Amino acid sequence: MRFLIVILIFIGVSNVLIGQKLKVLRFDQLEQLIEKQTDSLLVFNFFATWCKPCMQEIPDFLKLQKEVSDKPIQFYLISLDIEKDSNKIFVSFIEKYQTGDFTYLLKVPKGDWISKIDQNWQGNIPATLVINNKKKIRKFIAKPLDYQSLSKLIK
Amino acid sequence: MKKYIVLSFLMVFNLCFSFGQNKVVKDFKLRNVDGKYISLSDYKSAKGFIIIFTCNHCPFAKLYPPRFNELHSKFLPKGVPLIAISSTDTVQYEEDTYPLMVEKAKNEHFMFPYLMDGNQKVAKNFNAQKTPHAYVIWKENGQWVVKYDGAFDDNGQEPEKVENKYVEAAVEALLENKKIEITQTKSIGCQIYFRKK
Repeated sequence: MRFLIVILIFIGVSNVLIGQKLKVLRFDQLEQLIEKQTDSLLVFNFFATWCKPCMQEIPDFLKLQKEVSDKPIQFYLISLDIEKDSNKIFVSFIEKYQTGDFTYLLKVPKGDWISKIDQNWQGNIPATLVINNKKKIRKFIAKPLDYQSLSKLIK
Repeated sequence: MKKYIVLSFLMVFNLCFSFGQNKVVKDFKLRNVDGKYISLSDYKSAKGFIIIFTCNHCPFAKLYPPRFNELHSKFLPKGVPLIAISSTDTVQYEEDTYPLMVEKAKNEHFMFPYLMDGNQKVAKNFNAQKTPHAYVIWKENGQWVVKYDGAFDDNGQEPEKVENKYVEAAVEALLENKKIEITQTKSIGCQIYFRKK
């Protein structure tokens, strides 16, 4: 009987975990986010948990995000991980860094979506897009950034 | 002054054009997972090759070996073998070291050569950016000319939902002496980081 209760609790807990799945974003939804007319500066970081340099720059991103939290800057982490691995990503990444609110898994579309983000992008990650449509700001860096280079980008 | 600007524009344009159209790659000699060394010139009757830069560690590359086997068996009899090359930095990725390449090729029944590009020279020559990164090269006047450069197909994650088999279509067009419709594509993959030295 006790065994059964343990199993039931286990199922309950894992359901809660699975319930807070990684948010999945379609490409058109990502485009809408990018094209948003807002006073905030939008920062999109394209990453994947399997990409070592991406994982190396995440702590710097989060540090900076905390520091500018009083400013109108909105951060998005766009994961290009493989959809099948999304549960694993959820546990290993979102739980570790507590970034569930602004982390999305991109449902990679057919066709050349990479050029739509930036003409010169070859699809290498990490890559970061800093954009404000109202102020006509658009910067795209397809290489790893550190704390200093990122703070320059958003200041 | 104006003249120079126009001239430099023309030069840049020319450079891009010649690069995109008729890039020639050099032959190489790399160690296969069976211990033997392989060069393109070993294949006397080859009309062309499918060259795939891939590796052990990359999740995207891991999705493809069955598809590599399939295409290798289809085109080898027609004179277009598939050769896989691993050029990733083994200092960064232990999973990509030679003994583990040997193991992967054995466990996953690779029917094609899987070569170790330890000093990354071949990847640099091709300008390979990531894994997997596919090329179709064709023999023209004794030289190896790049005819297709990019993704293997348009769906890594769901092989059953692939609509565009870019590499296969390029090889078929070349074999039938037709124009290749898509000669270049972009895709997400694991970046090949070139060591400084």
